[in-house]
Amino acid sequence: MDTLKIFQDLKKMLIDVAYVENVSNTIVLASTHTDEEIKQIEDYLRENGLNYQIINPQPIEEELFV
Amino acid sequence: MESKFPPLGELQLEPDFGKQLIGYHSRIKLMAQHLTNALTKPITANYVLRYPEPCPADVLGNDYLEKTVEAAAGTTASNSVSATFTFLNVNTLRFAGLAEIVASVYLELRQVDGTYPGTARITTITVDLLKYDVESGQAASLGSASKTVNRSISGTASANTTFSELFEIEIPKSSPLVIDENTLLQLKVTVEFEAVTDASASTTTIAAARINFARGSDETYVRLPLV
Repeated sequence: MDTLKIFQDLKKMLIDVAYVENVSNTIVLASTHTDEEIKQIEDYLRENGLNYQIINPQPIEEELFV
Repeated sequence: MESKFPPLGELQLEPDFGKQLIGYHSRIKLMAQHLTNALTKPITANYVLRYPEPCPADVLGNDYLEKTVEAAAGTTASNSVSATFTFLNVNTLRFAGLAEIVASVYLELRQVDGTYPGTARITTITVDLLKYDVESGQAASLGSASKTVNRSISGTASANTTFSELFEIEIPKSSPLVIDENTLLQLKVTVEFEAVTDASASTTTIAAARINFARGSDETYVRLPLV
């Protein structure tokens, strides 16, 4: 499946995607997503027979800088 | 008692320092490199094939050759980047068998709309082995290999990736390739790529593609069997 189609499908699922690339098969999310949302993405990938790793940016732990 | 070793005449007793001895056959690996100052004999060339490993590098040479393409809103635009590397060795060498070629390429989604996704895509990579006749100035094909790879990056943020692709071209054993001071070996690498911009996007998509041949590296090379 084309990377643009994957991007558009995830957007329809209200996933905040930064980009999708199919060299290292990676989906990079633009913001932190919950475990439930990640599972939603994983279900989508499974249903479509896709094998991608998901990069979910972690929130900055501000207390570390206090 | 009969010797278990083959007659001396069948041994390659003095493999060139660029060869790797494999049984009765040797292979030579030629690395694609760029030279700031062109070599001028027997022909003028900045893009060359060099050996042995580690590859001697020109510290001022380029590490890649890049081209870009920009697609207007609602369109797909394509371009290609191509480089021909010449082996300027003038010693006589004979090749036959399976030539292994590796091309390293880079793809970048360099500019894209922040809301409507764009795509940068490498569609095909083609490699050609050429025999260049110094006197006539003509290059004849020894073989070509092409792959539709369709590797892409789609999104609303800039990103890039690098990958290598392997190709194999058969040089018939019945007619080995002989190179010398009048006949040069060339490797041509061509990368076709494209950019796609969404019809609603206010910022165009710019895709960049490179052929990689970093100084002193074996990112792009051809390995040939000597006979």
